[in-house]
Amino acid sequence: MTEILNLNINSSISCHAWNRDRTQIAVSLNSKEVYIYSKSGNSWSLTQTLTDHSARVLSIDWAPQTNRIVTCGSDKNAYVWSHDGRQWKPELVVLRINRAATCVKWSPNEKKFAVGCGNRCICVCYFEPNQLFWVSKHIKKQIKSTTLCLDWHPNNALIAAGGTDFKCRIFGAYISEVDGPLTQTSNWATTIKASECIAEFSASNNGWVYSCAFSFDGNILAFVAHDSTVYMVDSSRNPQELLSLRTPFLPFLTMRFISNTSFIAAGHDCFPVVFGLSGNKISILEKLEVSPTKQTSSVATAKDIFGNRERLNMDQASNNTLNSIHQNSIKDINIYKGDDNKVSQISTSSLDGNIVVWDLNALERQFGNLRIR
Amino acid sequence: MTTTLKPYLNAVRATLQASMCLQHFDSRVVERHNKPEVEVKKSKELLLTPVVISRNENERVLIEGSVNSIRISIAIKQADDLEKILCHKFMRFMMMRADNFVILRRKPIKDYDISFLITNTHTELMYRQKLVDFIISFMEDIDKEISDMKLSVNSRGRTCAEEFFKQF
Amino acid sequence: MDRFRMILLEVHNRAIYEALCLRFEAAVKNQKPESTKLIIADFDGIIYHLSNPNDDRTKLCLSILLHFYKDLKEHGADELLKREYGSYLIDTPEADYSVSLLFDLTNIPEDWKDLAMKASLLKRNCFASVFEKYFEFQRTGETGHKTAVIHYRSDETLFVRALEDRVTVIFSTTFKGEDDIILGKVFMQEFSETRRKYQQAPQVLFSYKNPPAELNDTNAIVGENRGYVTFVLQPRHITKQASDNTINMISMFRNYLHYHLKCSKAHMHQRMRSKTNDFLKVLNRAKPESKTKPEDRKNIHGKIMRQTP
Repeated sequence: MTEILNLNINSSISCHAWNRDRTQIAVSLNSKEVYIYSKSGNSWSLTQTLTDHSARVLSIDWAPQTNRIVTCGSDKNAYVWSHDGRQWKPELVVLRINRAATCVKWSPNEKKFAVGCGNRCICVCYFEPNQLFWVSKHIKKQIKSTTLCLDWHPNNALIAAGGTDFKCRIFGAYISEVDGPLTQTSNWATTIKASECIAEFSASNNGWVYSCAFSFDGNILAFVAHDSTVYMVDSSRNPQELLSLRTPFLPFLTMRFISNTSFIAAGHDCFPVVFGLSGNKISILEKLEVSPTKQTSSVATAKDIFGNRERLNMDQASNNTLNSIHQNSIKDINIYKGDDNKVSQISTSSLDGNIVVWDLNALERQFGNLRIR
Repeated sequence: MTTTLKPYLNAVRATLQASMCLQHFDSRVVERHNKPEVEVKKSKELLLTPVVISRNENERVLIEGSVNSIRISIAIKQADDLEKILCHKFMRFMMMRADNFVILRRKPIKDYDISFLITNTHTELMYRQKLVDFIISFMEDIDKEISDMKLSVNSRGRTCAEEFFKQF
Repeated sequence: MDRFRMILLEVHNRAIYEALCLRFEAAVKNQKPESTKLIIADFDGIIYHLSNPNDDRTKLCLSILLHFYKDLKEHGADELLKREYGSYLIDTPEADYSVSLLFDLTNIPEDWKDLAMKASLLKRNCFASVFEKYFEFQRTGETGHKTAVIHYRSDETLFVRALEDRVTVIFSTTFKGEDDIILGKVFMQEFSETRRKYQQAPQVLFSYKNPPAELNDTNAIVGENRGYVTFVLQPRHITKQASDNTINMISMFRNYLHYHLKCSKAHMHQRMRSKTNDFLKVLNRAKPESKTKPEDRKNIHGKIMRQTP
């Protein structure tokens, strides 16, 4: 049901990204390096370390079709990495920002990507074939503070962004040179002007918006905030009505949709929670509180006892641990397996250095009540 | 007296658990810098409302939160002159060793006796739950330690006096 | 009483006592005398000097330097010392010193241990003169003598006064820091309370900052960190039998008090250090189990430790 990946990482993981067939994973360990691990058989090994960033790497995204990785970090830079058969080579992205770049996401057609930054703007970047590097267009309207999260609408033309100004907004991110004429419209707006702010939603209790996402069909926008509340807007019913649910949990840091009406969120509480929307009510579908497997030996060695007494002033054999697989906050959730409308496995990475893959189908059977679909 | 201790500590514990949800956050004011926002206080939107939990006039805890750091200041009960100087000496002793303590602040906030500064690096390296446990057990132990020291001073004085007077 | 040896301070100077015993014993056994030059310090800035005068190894000269000897001389110190030490006292003391005793190592009496003890009480005997004089005043009912003022330390003074029915001894003492003032107050409070149990002991009064009314005619100092301790000695404390003991205890009082103040501070410091270590250990619980890979751990010689599975 849950599988902890054996990557032998001993420090906090801030973000991770998978390649298309899940045989490679890129992780950032709260440092300026990005590690690429490859799977061979049942074990993982480190294949390359990307060291071009000069400050902490804050976000990674891996484009499945074109096999390119984009990373961004506190050094105000973003790089696009392409694999030339033997190793990953960086391409510079000209962001023109002067604060940290906090989050990055490829658009669904992988021709553009968006970077959120502390400079009160969002950069939408595309490859300029004449100059052979990536250039950016800035979206500045109405953003008052650092952007913490981004997500693209499936039509490649809209971005949702949330940040520390307590709001989640939808912007037009359409670039005609790259995208061609606009064909798909959406329920959010009939006309989309590039760089315009189309809608704005407030986290009502003044919480910083940590993560936002569009559903697979683009109709629902959901975001989670520091006020322990989850918010959803269903554009097929009413694109201006903000629904919310105050949860009794600690704030969530990250979320993903797993179907068209439900999403999974995780954060400081160290276990994922599934939420679903039906009609105009959001409800908690299930808490995935899975206990960790017990220690194999319950007999404490003498070394442990004296070591604990000396270092920790405690006489028990082992520390009390949290009753969940992750021991520290979960920072990132990704879809591991599933097609567009039904996700069967997700992966989470957390500050305790573990990446765990959750099999939602198996969990659904175990938790009985779990009505993910 | 002890009937108010448990609810007081429980309230502090609950507030700490909620406010210790810290995230890495780069400074908005200076490029490439990462500072504890609760100390810098330049960007108002990144600060949470400070909370004071008080058991009585003399025992209070001030918790100031922000997006990447939290500052906890404790005012300790000091009933008389002797307890005042014992508390003062003890706090100074610990604050001089603030480097070892990692989460201790070198100077307390005004009107309080001791302050802790916990940043997102600490919560990444250490378990959050245990940090909260530490602060709570610290608060319990300090009171006990100061009254023990006061007792020892008094009993030493008494023994000295007895020995002296016995000689006459 | 062995248990409490560390609580009361010894009146004699142990270093002098042992040094003299060693040399006297050697002389009695007819061993060759060695050359001696010892400088020993005592409380209140007093210095002892034990040496061979004129390089004559058969003779030992013990001198004492008290900065305030002239105050004591006023009250008959010389006469008392003459009485106590008899022929051992030299008329002109060694240069720079206040009083000197001379011992002839070829002529050591049988009770040399007592002699050594008496010699190590030299400081106490210098002080004793003031007390004995005023005790005598009270016994004979002579009042009207002025208060004795001894500046035994640079910023502290001793006052002795004889009245009809009692003798009062007042110590004016300085507390070096604010902490000391409060600790001093706590100690003196304990003294007053404990005295109630021991009715036979002299009464103790404590006054902080301002001198007690008795000292109105002296220029006693007023100050933030100043304390005045008054002992009221009743006739029974100053009878011929009791006066020696009284002088021993009272003359050591100031050092006794400050010694215990310092002990308290050291004890507290030790407690604080151990408690801080405890806190650090509790904080260590918050850190995850050491995650270093086994290959990385090095022992003291720099070799890498490998844990055999």
